Amino acid sequence: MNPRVMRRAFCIALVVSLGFAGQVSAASCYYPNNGAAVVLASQAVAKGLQARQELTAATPHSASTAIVHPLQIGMASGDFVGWGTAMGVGTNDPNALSDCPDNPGPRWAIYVDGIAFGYYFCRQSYGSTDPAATSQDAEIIHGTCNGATQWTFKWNGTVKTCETVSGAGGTPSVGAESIGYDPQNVDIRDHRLTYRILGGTWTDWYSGGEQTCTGSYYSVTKNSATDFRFHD
Amino acid sequence: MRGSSALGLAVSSLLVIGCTGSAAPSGAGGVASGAVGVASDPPRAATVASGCSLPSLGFDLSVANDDAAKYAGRSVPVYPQILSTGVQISSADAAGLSVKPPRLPQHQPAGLPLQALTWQEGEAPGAASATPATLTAYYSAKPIGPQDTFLDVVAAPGVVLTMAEATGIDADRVLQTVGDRADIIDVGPYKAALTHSSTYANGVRTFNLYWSDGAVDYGLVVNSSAKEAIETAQSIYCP
Repeated sequence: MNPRVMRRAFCIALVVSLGFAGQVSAASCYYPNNGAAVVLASQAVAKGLQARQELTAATPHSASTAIVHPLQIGMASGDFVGWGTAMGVGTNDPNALSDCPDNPGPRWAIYVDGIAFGYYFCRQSYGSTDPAATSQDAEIIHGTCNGATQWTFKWNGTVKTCETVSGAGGTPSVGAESIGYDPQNVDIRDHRLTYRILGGTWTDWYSGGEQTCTGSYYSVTKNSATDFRFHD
Repeated sequence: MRGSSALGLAVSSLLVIGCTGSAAPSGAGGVASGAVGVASDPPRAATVASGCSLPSLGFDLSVANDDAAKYAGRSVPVYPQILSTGVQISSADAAGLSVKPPRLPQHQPAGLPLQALTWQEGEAPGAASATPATLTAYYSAKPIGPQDTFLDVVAAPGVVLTMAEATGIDADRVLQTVGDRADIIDVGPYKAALTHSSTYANGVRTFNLYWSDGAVDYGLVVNSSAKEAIETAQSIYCP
């Protein structure tokens, strides 16, 4: 297609799309239970996400429950990538590529999960953090990893794994979730929160279309534009 | 504009299809009912069949999803609001474009009309770490609202077709990633990987197809049957 024609289409469509700016709704906050507190940049498309996490000690309610603290990027293709810490029961999806094992604690296990070409995966072999670890730097970025274009996952600056899924950018979100029982001592802080837009550099957290999703048991405290606390 | 000419051609094709798709009568009558049949995972043995006919994969391709399993993931994904991310291109916009003759899809999946097209700019074409420009087409039994996400479209029921500047996401790469959970079939002249997804957070399972023509990587997500997914993909290349 002629680039000028395409550019014209882009501009026309941009004007059309501006009509949607600023709309915020809970419709995107789909969760199967009430055990979540999430902030998402619902109108941003990011290829990267960074946060410094402060983890508060937590004890899962029982052997069949869990607490997780992921960064996430969800894509238009239906695939997604998640990167964070977990404590408690693992995953058991009969259709998964791989499941995460249980981690009864008290240390937080670092885990990656997501959907790759429709199939859920969860891996948990990247070490652990102290029960009340501070200054844990988590990063997801799409680019070159192990010689292929895919998603890179870093913890405290070290590349821990690479994953290939369908999609190279999507909606960034951060938050905390409890699984199996609510509430469960959820208390985490994500600060120095930045995301990377396509063609851009690391930028302070997007607040133009920021959306907060909370279940019945949790709250989000916004300390600043780049500093959130998710808690009971 | 960073989209490659190859993707531009693909975009052109879809835009024209968008005109016809939007003009088509809406109706989900052709959508396979999820109330009957028992879905089973595609068999593990890969089969290569003609690129313009249904392959033989050892299971009934027309069987609809009927999986009662719940989402069992550790993180519940949050998806983009379709109409708020990227640039929405309407059929009216498309009518103002000079486009090449369409290469398809000529087959509207399950008779579902095209409800939205979104265009996401890419970056730094040619760079190893470039994020590809991506066009996404949403076919759905229902109009797409401003807050609707991927989950809403597939549950409608609906179909999501993504076309991205190639970054090597072809059938072999999918096979390398998901192993024997993928079946390899032919979609026109290209090899494609068919998967039967895990259960999404809204309880839906889909049949997905992934292939590449070397310039554009395609991903097709269909919430009806494997047959519908294959026929939709093949109609891009077959008469």
